[in-house]
Amino acid sequence: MNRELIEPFLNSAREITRQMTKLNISWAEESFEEENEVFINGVVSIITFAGKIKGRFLLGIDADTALDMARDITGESVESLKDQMALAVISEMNNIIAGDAITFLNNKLNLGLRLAPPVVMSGKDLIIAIPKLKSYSTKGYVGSGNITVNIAFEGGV
Amino acid sequence: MIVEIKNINPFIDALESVMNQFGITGIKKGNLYNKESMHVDADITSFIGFVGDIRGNISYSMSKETGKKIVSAMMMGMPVDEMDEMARSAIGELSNMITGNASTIFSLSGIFVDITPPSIVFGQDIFFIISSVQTTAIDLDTPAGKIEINIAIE
Repeated sequence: MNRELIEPFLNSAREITRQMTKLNISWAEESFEEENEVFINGVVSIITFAGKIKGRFLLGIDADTALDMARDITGESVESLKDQMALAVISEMNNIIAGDAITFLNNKLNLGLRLAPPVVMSGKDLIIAIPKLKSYSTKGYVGSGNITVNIAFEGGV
Repeated sequence: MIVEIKNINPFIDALESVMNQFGITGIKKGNLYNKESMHVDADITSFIGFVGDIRGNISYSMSKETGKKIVSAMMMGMPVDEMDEMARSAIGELSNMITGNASTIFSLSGIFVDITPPSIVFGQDIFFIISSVQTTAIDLDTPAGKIEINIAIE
């Protein structure tokens, strides 16, 4: 596993989350390899990218934490994750995180990566499969729940 | 921005041509309609992004039954009883083939796009947003069942 490709995402996620919400993420020290599938109960947003290499950045947020974040950012009460605004806010946050991390990687490793727009979804017991790509998850903890970052690069991380 | 029809057709043509290769023919196209948000009732949604001269996402949604029939057709008619790991991977490969094929069609008219890795989502009653702009949807009736395509180009 190449920490060089994972850490920019973790750093950007922590930094941007702190700026946009009041929440502090503390990441687990270890990342682990996923067996093709990621399970999330809450909100998932995915940004894929292509350039010299291709890959995917996934941010999974527990339902309660996602609601907290949407409330913090909008300053309004958000009751349901089916709320368009809640999803749009989380999508935008992920866009900023991924943009920040990708800019860092492009500058450092000259990868020429370009981002596709974020895809956001909410639902119970979501299973997200990424065929043929090796991916690594890192769990993070915030006050009200868990956050998962999953990163996959073609050819392995 | 309203998605232009000339940017939608390559995806539909690509789907038709890839499905034909697997012996799924006689695909009927429904009407295009615009969606503010995307709520999908289907069991399986596979989506894939594209970057370059045009940038966006496309998703292919279908029921489990349709998924099994398509995967079976992809594997020369081998029966598929369950959407297991291999079947999921086949659906990912299918979206790769369709979108890759579309990118080739685009390149013929001087539009260059690169596709990103597909992700496949399973679950029910899922709300999606695949773009901050409008999403254009089209339903396709195939002998294997209905496939809903959602396209968002920014």
